[in-house]
Amino acid sequence: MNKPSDKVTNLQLAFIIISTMLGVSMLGLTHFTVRGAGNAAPFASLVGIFIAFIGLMGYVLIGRRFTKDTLVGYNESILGKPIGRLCSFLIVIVFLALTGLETRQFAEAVQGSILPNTPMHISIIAMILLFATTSFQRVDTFASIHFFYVPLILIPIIIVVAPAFRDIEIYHMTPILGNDPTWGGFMNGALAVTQAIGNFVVIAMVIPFMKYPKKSWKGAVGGFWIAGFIVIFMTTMTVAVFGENEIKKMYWPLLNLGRMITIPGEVLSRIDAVLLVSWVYGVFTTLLSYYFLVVRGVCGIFRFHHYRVVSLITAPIIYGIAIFPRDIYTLYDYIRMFSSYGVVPLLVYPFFLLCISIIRKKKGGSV
Amino acid sequence: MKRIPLLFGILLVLSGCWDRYELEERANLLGLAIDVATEEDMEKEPSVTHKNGEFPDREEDDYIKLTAQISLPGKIKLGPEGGGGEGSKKNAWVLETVGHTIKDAMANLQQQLAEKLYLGHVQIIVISEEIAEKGVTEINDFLRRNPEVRRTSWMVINGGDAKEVLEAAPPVESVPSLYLSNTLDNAVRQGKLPREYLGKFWIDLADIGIDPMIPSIKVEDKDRILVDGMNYFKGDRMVGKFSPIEIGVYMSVMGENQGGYSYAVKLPEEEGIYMIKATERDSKIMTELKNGEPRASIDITIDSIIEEETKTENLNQNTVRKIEQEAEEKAKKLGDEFVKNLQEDGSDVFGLGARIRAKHKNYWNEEIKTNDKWTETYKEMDIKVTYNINIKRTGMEWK
Repeated sequence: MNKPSDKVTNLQLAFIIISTMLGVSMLGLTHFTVRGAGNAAPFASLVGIFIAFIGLMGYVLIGRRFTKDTLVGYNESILGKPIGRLCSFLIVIVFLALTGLETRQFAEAVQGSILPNTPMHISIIAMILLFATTSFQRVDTFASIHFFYVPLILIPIIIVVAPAFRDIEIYHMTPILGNDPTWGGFMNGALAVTQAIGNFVVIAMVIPFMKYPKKSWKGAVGGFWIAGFIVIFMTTMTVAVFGENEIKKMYWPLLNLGRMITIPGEVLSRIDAVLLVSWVYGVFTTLLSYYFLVVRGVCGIFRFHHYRVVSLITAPIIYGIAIFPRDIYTLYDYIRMFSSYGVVPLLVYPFFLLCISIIRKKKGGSV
Repeated sequence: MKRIPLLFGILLVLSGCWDRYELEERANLLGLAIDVATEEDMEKEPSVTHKNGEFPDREEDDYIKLTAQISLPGKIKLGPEGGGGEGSKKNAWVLETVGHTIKDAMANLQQQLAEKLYLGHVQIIVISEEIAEKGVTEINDFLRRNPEVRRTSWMVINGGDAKEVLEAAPPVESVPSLYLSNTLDNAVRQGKLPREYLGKFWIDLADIGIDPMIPSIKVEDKDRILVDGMNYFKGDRMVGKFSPIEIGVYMSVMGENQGGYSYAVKLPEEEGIYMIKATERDSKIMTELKNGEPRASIDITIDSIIEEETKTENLNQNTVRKIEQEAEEKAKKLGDEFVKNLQEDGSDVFGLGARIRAKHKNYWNEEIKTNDKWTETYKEMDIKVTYNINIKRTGMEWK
């Protein structure tokens, strides 16, 4: 299954991480961070990113140990076939659900802000068609798609958000630990960030296809911190401009930030369109990663190599999940549920695997 | 050949034209004016969002009169031929409806129009003093919720009738509301108005420890507007108004550049009158706690130039120093009175409360916490403003 051309470089791995981490949640993330942590949101983001970083290191370490296996592969060789398959299956379920829910979140944001008359099903189907038709490609194609989109995501965000500097108020950001910090609230805010960016788990599917899987940490760490910096930058800017109370009122603070910005010289008057375009790229690459994990995961569990078939069969399930939540509040409830009970445990999971593999003296390549 | 149906399918799905509304199918709202409607006005009310007399209401006289300035591209001729003294009146259509809430009035308005109302081009939202005094939270909800409304448009208050602002038709620009909003945008560029547009107003409204304000305007000769000062709020209710020169003081306190206001100074023992103009403002707002009481001291540095000298001609280094001193004294007097007025009305437009919250966390958590408590403390608070005015140059004249 490993064709000679199927080789991913470290730079590509970094770009996969960046474009996976920056996704649907970009627009609304600050709302959840602020709701927990108040004006300590930038600091909470930093803490959240550190927590996620630990998880990243876990996947890199286990990837070093099992250089030829994907997540599904080492699950089985470490935990034994039945339990390993069950674990892989649970992970796939989590990502399957998240793909559907985040597609819905994308459609909600589109409908709520730019295309009020387009039926939501159309946005959902269009997005599903896009990632379903690209997700069964080879790993190097998958990496190239990410590689292509990253500049289109990063550059507009920075250009659009930077002019907001003149509208910031220092008093929106201090005290750095928040006015009335509670430990629980702060950690809730931090974990909101961890949940939103913890989706880099997909690298567990990519590392075995790298040229030098042992050196994957270079790309992984680099990509992670670039994306982490962008998350902190966006959170800080939105908090500094809007302040705690205003952010709590909005669904998509970053989008509103884009709506407030006028570029000096008034060349363009509605910058939010640029932001939305780059956000749509971000959404696509993120969902592509999720779905890629689902398709590869299913195929790995059932020893089945027709990715195309799996991808097309699973698409209607995603659609079903996407239209399931009855309104936007339930949607966010589900998302929070799956990301706190799905994504966060996944960050601890590799360490658990590592321990067992050391105890059972399992090493890579022993498939 | 097998792929052709697929390609057609993709064309159908990805074209993204569902929300297409051609420009000429849209009624572009350019300006909105919100007044209180009288019983008499309400008699015209159609039953659009509710049956007549069955609005699930609150108080009796809570009626809104919404005036909208609409441009219909392709239907009303735009363009330069409007010249020749005819004014821009015929380029836009001013419509008036009534309703119980903003959305109610908008629904009534849509009911009478062939085109779909589009709020993406709203430049200016005028509210009458009466509405502002009743509180602005209710009217802002619709505007915040609607994704088309720009956060960079202006909300302003007209002293009497909000409607008359939209009826003002400047002879120079083809679209009246555009001229009005340009007046405000350029006032910002010239340092005559702080950047208090709609988005900023909402932020200040939501924040604890800062009260919002919005520009106050007045219609002149039915064809232009005068920036007449700022209206300041306490919570969401307007409580007072300050004059343009006090905008200058406000902007100095906030250290907002660029400087724009000129100020007339006369030396005590001389005849001459000097006009000095602030060019650059810088300020340090410091808050401290003394014996458990908050205090604020504001150090302002203003660089300025002399723009005019009348009734005398003896400008030299010496006089310039004296003028600086005199200007500092004058500014202090003006500023102190301004701050005192604001304190009496309990309106903290400087955001001193927010700064104290940001800096003295424990004090805030123990003593203040709410906006109401802050207003009380603010009224009693000691605010010291010091001015340092430097005259840098005197234009092209030596003396």
